[in-house]
Amino acid sequence: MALVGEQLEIPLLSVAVLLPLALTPLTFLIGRKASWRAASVFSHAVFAIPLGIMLWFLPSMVEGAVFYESYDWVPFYGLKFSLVLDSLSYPFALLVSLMGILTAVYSHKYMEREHSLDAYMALNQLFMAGMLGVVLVSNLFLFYIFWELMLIPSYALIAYWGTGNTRLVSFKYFVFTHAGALSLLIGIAWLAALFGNLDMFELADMAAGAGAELRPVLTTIAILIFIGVGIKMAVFPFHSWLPDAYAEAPTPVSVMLSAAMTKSGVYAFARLITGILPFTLQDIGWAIAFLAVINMVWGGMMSMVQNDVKRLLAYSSISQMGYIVFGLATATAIGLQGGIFQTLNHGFAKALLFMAAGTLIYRLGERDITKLGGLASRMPVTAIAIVLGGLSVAGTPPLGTFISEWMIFSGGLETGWTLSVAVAVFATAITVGYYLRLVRALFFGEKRPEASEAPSMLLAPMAVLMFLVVILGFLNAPLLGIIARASIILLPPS
Amino acid sequence: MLPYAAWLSWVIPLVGSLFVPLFFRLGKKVGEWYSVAVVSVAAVFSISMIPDAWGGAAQVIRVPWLPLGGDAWVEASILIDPLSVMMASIATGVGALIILYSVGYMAHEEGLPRYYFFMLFFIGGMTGLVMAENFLQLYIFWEIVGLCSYGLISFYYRRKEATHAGIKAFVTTRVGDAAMLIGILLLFTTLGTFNYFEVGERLREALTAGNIGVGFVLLSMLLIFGGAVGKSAQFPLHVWLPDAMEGPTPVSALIHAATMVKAGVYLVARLILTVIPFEAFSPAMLAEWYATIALIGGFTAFMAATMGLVSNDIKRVIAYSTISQLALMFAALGMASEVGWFGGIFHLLSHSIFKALLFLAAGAVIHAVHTNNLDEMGGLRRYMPITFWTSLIGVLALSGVPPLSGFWSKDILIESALEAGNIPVYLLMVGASILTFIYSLRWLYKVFLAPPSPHIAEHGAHEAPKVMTIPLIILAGLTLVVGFFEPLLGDYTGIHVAGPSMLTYLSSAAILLVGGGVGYLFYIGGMVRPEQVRATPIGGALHKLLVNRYYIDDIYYKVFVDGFDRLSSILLRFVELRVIDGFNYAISKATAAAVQVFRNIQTGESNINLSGFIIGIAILLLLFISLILG
Repeated sequence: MALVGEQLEIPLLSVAVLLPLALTPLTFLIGRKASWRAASVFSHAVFAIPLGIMLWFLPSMVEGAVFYESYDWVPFYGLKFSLVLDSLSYPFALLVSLMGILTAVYSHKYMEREHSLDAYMALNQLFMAGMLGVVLVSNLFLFYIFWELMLIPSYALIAYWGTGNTRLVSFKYFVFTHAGALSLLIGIAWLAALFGNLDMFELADMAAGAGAELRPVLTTIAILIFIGVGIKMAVFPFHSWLPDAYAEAPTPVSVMLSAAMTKSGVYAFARLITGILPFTLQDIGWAIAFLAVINMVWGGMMSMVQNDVKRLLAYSSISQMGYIVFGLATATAIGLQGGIFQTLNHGFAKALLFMAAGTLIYRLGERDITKLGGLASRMPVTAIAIVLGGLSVAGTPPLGTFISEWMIFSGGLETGWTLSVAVAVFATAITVGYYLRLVRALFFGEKRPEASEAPSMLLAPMAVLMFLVVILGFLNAPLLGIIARASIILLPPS
Repeated sequence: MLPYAAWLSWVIPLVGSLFVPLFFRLGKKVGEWYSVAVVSVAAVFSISMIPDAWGGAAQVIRVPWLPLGGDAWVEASILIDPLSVMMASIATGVGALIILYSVGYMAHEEGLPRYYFFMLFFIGGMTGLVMAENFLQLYIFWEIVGLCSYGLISFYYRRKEATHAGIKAFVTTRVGDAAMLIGILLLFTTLGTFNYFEVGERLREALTAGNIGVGFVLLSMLLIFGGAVGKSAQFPLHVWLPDAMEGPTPVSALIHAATMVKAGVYLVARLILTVIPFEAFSPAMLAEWYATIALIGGFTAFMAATMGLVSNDIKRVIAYSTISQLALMFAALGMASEVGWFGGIFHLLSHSIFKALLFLAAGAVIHAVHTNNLDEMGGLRRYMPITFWTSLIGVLALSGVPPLSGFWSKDILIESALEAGNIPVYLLMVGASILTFIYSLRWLYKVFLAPPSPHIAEHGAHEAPKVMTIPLIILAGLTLVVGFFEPLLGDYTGIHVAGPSMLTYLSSAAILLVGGGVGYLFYIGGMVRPEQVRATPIGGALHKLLVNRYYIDDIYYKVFVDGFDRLSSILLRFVELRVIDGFNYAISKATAAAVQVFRNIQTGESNINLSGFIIGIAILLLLFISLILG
């Protein structure tokens, strides 16, 4: 799978990744010298650049183009600064850059009562730059650097602006994901040492050509990488950082964590395990799928008994990550396609839900669903957002999640995991159960008549997401086409 | 056929529903009549397809839809054949009448944009469901109509029962849908297509080639039938439909009588007609599948009818009746014969009309007396003559009294059971039909004929407005004539069945005699009082059992709702928080404790520090020397 593509004349990808990174200090300084509002507006502008670049690439990505950039960085070690935009990285890059600007706009209003917002804006920008780097670089060394770069700011964001016992929660988050990162580091370092190469695409060819005697080693490497990305994706039993982190982080950060950061784990799985070591999935795929099924059921059951709205959504994320991981573990083109498409659908829907939960917190300062109610007529947009997001997560046709879920299930059946698929399908009934419970508890009955709709600055990003959640069910062919191409390239049909 | 009717018949209401809130901004009347207009236009498009499907012609339109990489696509496809066009015409035609009725019935409610949005979206979804020629599209529309059903059952969202009933309906049907989705996906992964005709062809090819066994066909068909069981409220997933009566009455008439609950029957009829036709897949080969359907149908028909005998809610009686009548259709389809198939869809047609009529009549009564309780009614014949006479037609049709539509269609159902020689199911069907006559008479008596309740005697009641009575009259008129359309329906579907045999006529006569006799004794004639039966030990126990719906709901709640909830709580408290999360904290505590051990060395005294420093240097030196020398 050597990289065939066009070298970019204008370094658009480098700009997309490095500009937000390089401008981070400026954002902070503007916040310091002028006001945090100026910093916020400045960071919106910065966020708009990667999004603009990604949208500009859309037509050529639909055509199936691949773009790359490569510069010598440390020639002595043969280290290159290389970026790639192909059918696999594009959906993720689009997701990250879009979520970046939406959460930035949302933060502008949501965080206004908080302290030291200059630092918040700068860290938020850094966080997003790290994620964008992860999905765009094609060099394992850089990959690891960006992987850590997204961890550190997010730790600080939870620790300084979170709620509850932030010291404990943020530390837990840090230790967990960092332990995962170490496992990932061992895996990729081993891989690089084995073949003496750091380029993902060249490694893929080398690994494919490796003899049978290397197979156990490569399987071990795949397991190490899986542990690394698995912790990021909150795969059972490494999931216990997630409910705490999602629930206690400030809402825009929860949005970013659920919609984009955990999804970088999906990308890493697809790029490193499916992309470089697809054959190992024949040996370990069943185990991953087994964990994924536990994720679905466990997350669903835990959601059922939560009363904290954000914690409920967090457990729901665990459940949904199970579907994505299941799709990837099937190692079939349709399962992978479903998994990646589900990543987008779930990203948008869960971001929408967290933002809606945020408006409740913003307006009412209450997150216990048993104490809320009667909000539908007072907060119609929020109500529609929660209903729509919930239906999407529950896989209700015709929303996009349904399409991705049947693809995931088809992949499972193709691999022959009929029983697991049956459990997975019935687990969607659990999803419906806890979402309807949420909808009923929040909006029906009459408990809080004093509520009023959130300001439009919070509603605007939600409106964009609602539009996307609906539109992905109907006009999904261009995006699905890109994802389908990525899946076929990674897992050519035998 | 009008141009693009096969698409526009469902796209118009689906897209039209999105503009409902906009038109309601312009005014309540504008919004209401806009909704009526949209559905009427869709009805015109649907009905315009009837000539194209006449005589059993089938036409398929396929377009690319979802890319699967390379040249592989999932296609969107539309099927124009007698069954789909008939169902589409029912959905939009009856739908138009019910929307018209809603203008009167819902006039004083709040949240009308939401109501009309869901109603239009539902009608579009239902029409799309029946026009689809592939399983994926079917499933999508299947869930859309389920969603609308949820939204409309919970319409009175301030009432706890209504929101609860909505969730119950959604989750219960979702269980059936999950089975159905697995079945569909099994077919897709094995055969690589969702299109009905292609699935049928490839199944046959794979069977001939020996790639799959008959067991595979049986399994996937049974799983798909699971979806039908949920949607059409058959045992054991029947529990949601009586509670669904919490929704507004026009909703019950449209969704829970005329159309959505018919989707299951439609699906089985569709499978038999298109996917596994008798010629290619002999009934003997799929005998177990057919037998399951017939048995579930027969059993549900009888069981639901018994519960209809004791309910005191004007709408719930009709809901039990709906379950029972749907079950009769299933039983006939399960007879695996052309007679059974024809009978099933003929009854579907006539039931859609007379049951919508009964619900709308019940709505008119509720509108007038503001209660659902049968005991608080009575004597309404005097005050509401139009409603009474139309209800009478509906009740007689439901009971199978000639020459109304129910008589003709029910005869064919019974005929099919006799022809197939399925005596147990035949007996269940006859029993259910007898009970039908009894509870129908009870219902009619309690609402219209019994001595008026004190409240009505004092205040009287008013007849419904014209906008409500006109749909009643139209539906009653249809009920009167549809029975005679049997030969026409035969021409239309291209399936002709011989007239019922003597034995069937005798069965019908027996049903009418026994049912009518008992009904007369207890209600119309008033010779035996129901209280006397309830006073006997057996009668009392039976009454209690029936009122509690055989305790099936209770058991479901204990096991699946409370049990699941409790299990989750226990797992959360003990496994998630203690074991998994506890393990993390245990690791961190253990690390901290281990570090404490070394902490004792760090005393901060310079003597100890210095001596440690010197010892360390010495060791390093020794190592260095040994390296150089050794």
